[in-house]
Amino acid sequence: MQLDERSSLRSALAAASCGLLGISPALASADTPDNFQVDSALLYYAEKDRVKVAEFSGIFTQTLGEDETISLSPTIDSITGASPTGATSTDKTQTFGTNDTTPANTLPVKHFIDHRFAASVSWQRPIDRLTKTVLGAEGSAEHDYTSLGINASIARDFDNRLTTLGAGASADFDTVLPASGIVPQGLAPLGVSTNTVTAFSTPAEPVFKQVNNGVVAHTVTSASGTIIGGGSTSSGGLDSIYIPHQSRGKEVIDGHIGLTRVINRRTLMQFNYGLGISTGYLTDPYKIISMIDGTSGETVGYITEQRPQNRLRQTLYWETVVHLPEDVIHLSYRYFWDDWGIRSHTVDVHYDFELGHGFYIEPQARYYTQTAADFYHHSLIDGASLPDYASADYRLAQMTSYTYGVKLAMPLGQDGELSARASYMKQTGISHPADAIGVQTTQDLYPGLRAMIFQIGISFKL
Amino acid sequence: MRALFISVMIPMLMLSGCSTVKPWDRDLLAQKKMQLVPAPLDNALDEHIFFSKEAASGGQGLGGGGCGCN
Amino acid sequence: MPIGSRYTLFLTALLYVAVSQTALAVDKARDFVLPTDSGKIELSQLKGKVVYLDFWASWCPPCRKSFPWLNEMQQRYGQEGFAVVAVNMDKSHDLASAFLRKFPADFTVAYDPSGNVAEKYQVQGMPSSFFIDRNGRIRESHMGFREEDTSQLEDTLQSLLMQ
Repeated sequence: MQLDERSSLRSALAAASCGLLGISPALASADTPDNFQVDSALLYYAEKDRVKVAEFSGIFTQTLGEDETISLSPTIDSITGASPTGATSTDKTQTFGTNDTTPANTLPVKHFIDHRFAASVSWQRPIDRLTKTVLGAEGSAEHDYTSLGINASIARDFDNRLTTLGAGASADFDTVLPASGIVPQGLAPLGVSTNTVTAFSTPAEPVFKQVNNGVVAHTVTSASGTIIGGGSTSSGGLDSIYIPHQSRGKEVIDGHIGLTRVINRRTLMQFNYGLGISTGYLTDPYKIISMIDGTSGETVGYITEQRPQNRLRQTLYWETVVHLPEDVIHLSYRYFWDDWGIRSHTVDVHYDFELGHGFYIEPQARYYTQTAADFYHHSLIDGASLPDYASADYRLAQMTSYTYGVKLAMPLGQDGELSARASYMKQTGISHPADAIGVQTTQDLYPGLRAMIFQIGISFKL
Repeated sequence: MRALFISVMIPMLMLSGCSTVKPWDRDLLAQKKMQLVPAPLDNALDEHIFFSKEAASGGQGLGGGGCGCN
Repeated sequence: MPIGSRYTLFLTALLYVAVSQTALAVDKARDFVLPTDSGKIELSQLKGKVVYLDFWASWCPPCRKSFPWLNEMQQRYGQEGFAVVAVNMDKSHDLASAFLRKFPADFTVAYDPSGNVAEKYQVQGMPSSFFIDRNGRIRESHMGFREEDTSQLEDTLQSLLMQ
């Protein structure tokens, strides 16, 4: 059950969104690093009772020539904890597999441990006095997911450098390799028995069977009972063992255009439009959906989720930076919409309180809200005809998130900085939807999420 | 349609209004804290977290502003 | 085309070229008076010298890079009648002073915080520099400063000194 949260944690890099282009600090900076610039940080992310991540990330930039730089950015993550399976809590104990038990009135989660390694490289150079380009590549790997991508962008100044027009594109190729070795069939039921609700821990379990004369055969069956793999061992030893190793691919293409404008001596603004297309296996192979009895609201079974094979995403992003007499305020708004029916608004503000001599304190606040995907269901009615697509992943539900944080920074030597950040993030959704049936009305169908984030950072020039 | 209207209006508004900022008046814009993304690493780490916990992603773009030198 | 018209066309072209040349020739460097750390400077007083008029600011990275080169040029050609006049555009004198403590200038530094002189010279980008010959005429203007251009700049400097 490793993929869930981290499928997106590493997808952040895989999607090669515009945010990644910010990895090359020189593109926007007034000061090309003289030689070698180091920017590094340690981060600890901890959700209450859920996922915990320890992360090291850095950006190392080397100046190659006049306005030309190359940056390398490695990231190492250690991810542990538990993440929701998509099943809802119910008033009975739920058992997944042989010993994975979820008590009554508790959100079913799956525990996991994983490590992720990622690296990106970015080469920035000018084409002429007013034009610069960036070429980049990135990759990441973890136990059940690998990603490779490339990106390119160009920016040109106009009107005595008061206006900048930029455009960029990226392409990523990801591979999902579920830990069980099986890519489950979508919307397929897991095994069920009565009294306590029991399900297989993964949609397919290797089944060992004694065949005859000491030959042990083992088969791997899919959730629907069809044998999808197998092999045999003679009593003396092991030979030709088939180990399922299924994988699926996903391609993500993104493009954006943007306009930056100096409004006055104190104000800078940017406006961007982004378009992204994802195709391939977009489903989470570990996530399931609770099947509910239409009268009692009791959980009677589970099915695997299934998302569409493509997704078209668009963003409009507006940011403004204003220099007040002493301080600086950064304000941004993003509108996102896609063909999965999701629409979201993001408002982000950073206020830089200058304390003098390079010291500053920067409170940050972020408001995020999204509508649910068309195929999001907190649970499905058993016996009703199944939709083409369905998912109970909390990240596709109607949700609102508030993040509050503060950053403290002090200068380090000539051009360096030491900083510490702490943030609190809280996600809430519809805990008691109107369509809750029977027992469901006693349950919190969207427990939400609370997380603390701590970060220390250091940057300097060599 | 509303998105299309906003996509046209905002850039036009940004480009209009005589921006009479002289090259020697870019002292404030030249400061690191006046960049659109003053702390790229913080930004990457944050976007990473939000992307993995939310349905939306992306938005940010390329540079601009700054001292406008050379 | 009849002979008469071609002749007229030729004369017009010749006149145009002549005028444009003289236009350059009469591009006198606008005079100004600006304060310096030791008093003030009046550009017209430098007539007879080759002047490198440079507009810079503490917040401009290429300006930082230009200072060592300007120091070298001032030292090498000062005796032959070369003078660097570096006009600082910082809004606060303190910022310029802090910069000069880190990157000392062995040439004249003048202060134009209101931007009036920069405006007169129609400065388009930071830094901007103007080569003014011994007769007080602007011969070349440059926007920006790049290490790779310094040998060419020095060539211009030398040729102007020989005039």
